Amino acid sequence: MSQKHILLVDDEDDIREVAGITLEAVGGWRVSTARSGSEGVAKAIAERPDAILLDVMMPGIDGPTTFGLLQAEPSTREIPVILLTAKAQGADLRYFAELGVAGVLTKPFDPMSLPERVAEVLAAAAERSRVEKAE
Amino acid sequence: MLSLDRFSRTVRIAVYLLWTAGLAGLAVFALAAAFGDATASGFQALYVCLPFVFGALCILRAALIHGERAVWALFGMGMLFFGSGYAYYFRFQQHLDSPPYPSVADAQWITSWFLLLAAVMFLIRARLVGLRRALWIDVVVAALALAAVAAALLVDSLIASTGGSVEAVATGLSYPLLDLLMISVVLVVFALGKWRLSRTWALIWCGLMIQAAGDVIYLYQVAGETYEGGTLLDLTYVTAMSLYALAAWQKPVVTRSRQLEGVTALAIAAALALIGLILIAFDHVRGTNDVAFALAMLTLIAAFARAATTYADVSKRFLIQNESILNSAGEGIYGIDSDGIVTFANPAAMRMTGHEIGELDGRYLHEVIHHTRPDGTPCLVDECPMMASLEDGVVHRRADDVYWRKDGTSLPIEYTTTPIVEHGEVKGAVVVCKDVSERRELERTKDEFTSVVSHELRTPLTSIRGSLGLLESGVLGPLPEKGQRMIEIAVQNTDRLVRLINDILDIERMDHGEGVMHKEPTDAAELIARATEGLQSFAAEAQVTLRAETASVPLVADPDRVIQTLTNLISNAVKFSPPASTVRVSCARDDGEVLFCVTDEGRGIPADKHESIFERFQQVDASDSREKGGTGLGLAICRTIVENHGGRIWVESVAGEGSRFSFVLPALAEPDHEYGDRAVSGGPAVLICDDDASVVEVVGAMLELRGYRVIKAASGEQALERAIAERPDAILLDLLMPGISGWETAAALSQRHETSDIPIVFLSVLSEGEGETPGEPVLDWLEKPIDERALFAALERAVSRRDPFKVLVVEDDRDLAGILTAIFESHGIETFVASSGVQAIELAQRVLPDLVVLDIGLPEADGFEVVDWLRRHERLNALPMVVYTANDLDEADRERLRLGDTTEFLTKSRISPQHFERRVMALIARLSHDRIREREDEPEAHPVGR
Repeated sequence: MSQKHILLVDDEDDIREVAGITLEAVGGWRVSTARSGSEGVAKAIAERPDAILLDVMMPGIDGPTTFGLLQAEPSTREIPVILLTAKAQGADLRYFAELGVAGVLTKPFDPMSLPERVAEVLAAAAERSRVEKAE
Repeated sequence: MLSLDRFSRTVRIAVYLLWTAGLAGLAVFALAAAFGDATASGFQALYVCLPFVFGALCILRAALIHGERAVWALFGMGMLFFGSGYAYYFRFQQHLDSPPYPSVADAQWITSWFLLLAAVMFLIRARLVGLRRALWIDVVVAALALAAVAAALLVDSLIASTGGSVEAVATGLSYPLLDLLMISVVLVVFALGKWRLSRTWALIWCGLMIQAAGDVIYLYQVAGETYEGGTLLDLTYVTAMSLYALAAWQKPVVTRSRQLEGVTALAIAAALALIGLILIAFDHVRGTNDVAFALAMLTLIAAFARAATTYADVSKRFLIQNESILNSAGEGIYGIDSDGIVTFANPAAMRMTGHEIGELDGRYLHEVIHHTRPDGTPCLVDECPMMASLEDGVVHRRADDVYWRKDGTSLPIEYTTTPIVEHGEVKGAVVVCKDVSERRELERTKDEFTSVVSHELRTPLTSIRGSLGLLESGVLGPLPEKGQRMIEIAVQNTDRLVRLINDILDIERMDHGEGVMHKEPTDAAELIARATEGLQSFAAEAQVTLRAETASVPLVADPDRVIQTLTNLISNAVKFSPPASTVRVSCARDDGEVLFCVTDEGRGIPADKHESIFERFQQVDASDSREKGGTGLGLAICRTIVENHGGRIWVESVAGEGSRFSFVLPALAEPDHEYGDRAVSGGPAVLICDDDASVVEVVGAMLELRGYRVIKAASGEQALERAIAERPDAILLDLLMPGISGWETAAALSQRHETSDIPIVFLSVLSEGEGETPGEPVLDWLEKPIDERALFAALERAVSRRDPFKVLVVEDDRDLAGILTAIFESHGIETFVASSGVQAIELAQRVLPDLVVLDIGLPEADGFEVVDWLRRHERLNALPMVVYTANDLDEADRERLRLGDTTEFLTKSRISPQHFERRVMALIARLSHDRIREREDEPEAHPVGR
């Protein structure tokens, strides 16, 4: 099976580095990064990753808006997105869930749970595409 | 003395000459009268001239110097008349043996005295600032009283001596009386001017006293027929006049008068009048009844006038004081009558909403400023707390509402409505409101701050936690033992920091009411299940058994928060339990409340700490935080959550024997101060029938919160009875009941004609397909557990079926309006009448009619304005309308008046009343039919499984 490629979009340099190393070391995935929503959309279109980790609070366009742009773009619509957010309130989590993302992780996250969630999401996406292909 | 510098040399010389002449003449006359014979004709000439000289000085002053011209002119003229009186006397009368009395000379002298009196009055007005009407009356009262007394004392001797002829008496009396008047006037003035004797007043005062003395002597001389011109007596008069002239040339000093307390003035006047009356009563003065009596009566009348003025003044002052309190208040204050019409609005309120003073009087307060909710949906009158207090006579408060300004912008507001109750009846209400935009701003700033802070704190922690976690996991390679241990410590403490931040932010939010509870119907057992589920692995690690002993108890609460509370308590229990022990979690219903208990077998809590552990950063033992990893805020958060629900939390524990933490929550939520709470009990009535009493209660509470009236029944038979008796607007019917089932009940209801048209909504744990499909009038099927949204949607559908059609008639001709109303009501249509554009708009908002019948011939082109307004309104912009006019409208006007597709135009002259009725009723029939069909087509809300 080909190595999965994860795109990580976050404006914080350190978070990108730590999360990137975690994903590579634990999950064995290839990781590319973007520092802003617009860069993230551009890279997503260009590189077509298997999953996108998207920070919510960013300067410029924020996470939900970026997600909206990704959804609008046909080439990136199907890529599962996991939101990363410091907002842990119930109401906020519900709001994010209703956006239609594949998952929401609150910061600070247990670094081990990050690869777990990504794995879940990738597995679910793979299952869906298998089902679709079978039909 | 006033300065003459700015006048020309001629003027100055003239004035100096006059003074010299006057004073010299006075001196000569005095000497002559004292030591010689002043009756010689040479002296007489001098004598006549002196008053003229002094008079001229006064008149010159009036002419040359600005200010008080009238005063000094009057003084001057008075003196001139005096002089001319003397001239006449010396020329025509002196040589007569018995000169007539009174004579022309007397006439001139009396005139002179009146002029002097007038001068004094004018001077008071000029020199005393702050004299009000009441004070003039005071002055007159005092003077009249004094005169009455004097008259009572003097008149008798006067009459005795002059032989009693009316003119003689009158003339003789008039001089001293006038003097008295002048003196008492000046006396009062001194009192009012706080006894400050400016030179002018001092001089006038002396002059008046000397003049009065002279008049008394004159009186006796006349009585004894010993009067002769040219004696020392005349010196008195001339001296007095020189003093007046001197006074004329003093620098004017204006003083502020003090206010004589009404009571004091009244007392003084009354006392004086009383003295006079007593004297008369004792018949001390026989035959003088008329004069003295008349004066006494006048005094009394004046005194009463004074009392009336005082009363009026006091009332006015009181009113002004009250008004100025209301007008100065920073809060907006409205007064409304029992219909909700504004009777009073203070300037602060007008400023808040941008209206002009008086613009709101006579208008419906709710319709003008409270017509829409903050979220943009219209707020109906029944939901308005201000109107609610008129109905229920209870104080209502809202902290989070909005008012709408004249320009259409909104204004966050906090207000309190207090009903005005007289003799047990609500006569109106007072609304006191405060603009809270600043406070909102502050809260918003704080909210932003909290959110920014939380983000800023969590972001670096993410990197720290991430890198430490990676190292700890060993994925990047093994670490030396000590290194591994260090990393573990770092990770634990990072986690602790994260929990602390979460807890602090949580408790800050909840404390300030920003952690709004989202209360919904839920079940205690389910909440416990979710809480324990999350903690199973944690408990397993600690070798503690978690046991839930629960029964289903419905309640209305915020599920996330209750789970948070339970999680805190359970994890505490696990933390402090020894291995192989059990932690029990239970819930039970207890008379309107739900009791949750978490019991552990740990080391217990000493009695003196039972209260303090619920406070922030308190742990039983200081070492606990380190060992057990707690933040010290867990229990404080639990307490805040429980108290925000209106509940209580406590602990029962004996040291060494375990603890039981318990909290109760009310089964039904405290009404949030949101819309639709405790509203008018005129809402639609709904009958709830379910054999499970807790369902009836919880659902009933939800309905009441929304303004429905609730009728309860516990069985099919009860439901049938109640429905027949009370004819509810809708029935919620449980299907599976012991006794007669829901189906049988529904069948029974449809057979009785009183209840056959009441819409029924089935409640069932079964889904729709499983049971028999009922026909009308059962409208809906709701699955249990009940979704709130679905419930209300179904009820609204049910209730609206029975809603009468509402028509708004806008017609200023009352007869015609009456005819239209009669027509509509004969068809069972609810009619509302507005007679002006403004009223039409207010009623339209209040009533949300289904059809408007508009007479375009309203005064001031109001009809067009009404249509324009409707067009801009969110809900009413497609309102069906019948526009009728006296004459045909041209196309341009028709376009202006067209509101959506269903605007019909009818011309009065072309259509008979019967035809009108037919056309409008046909339109209404069409509209009603459409309306029902529209509602049937609405997609049903799907119950969301829990």
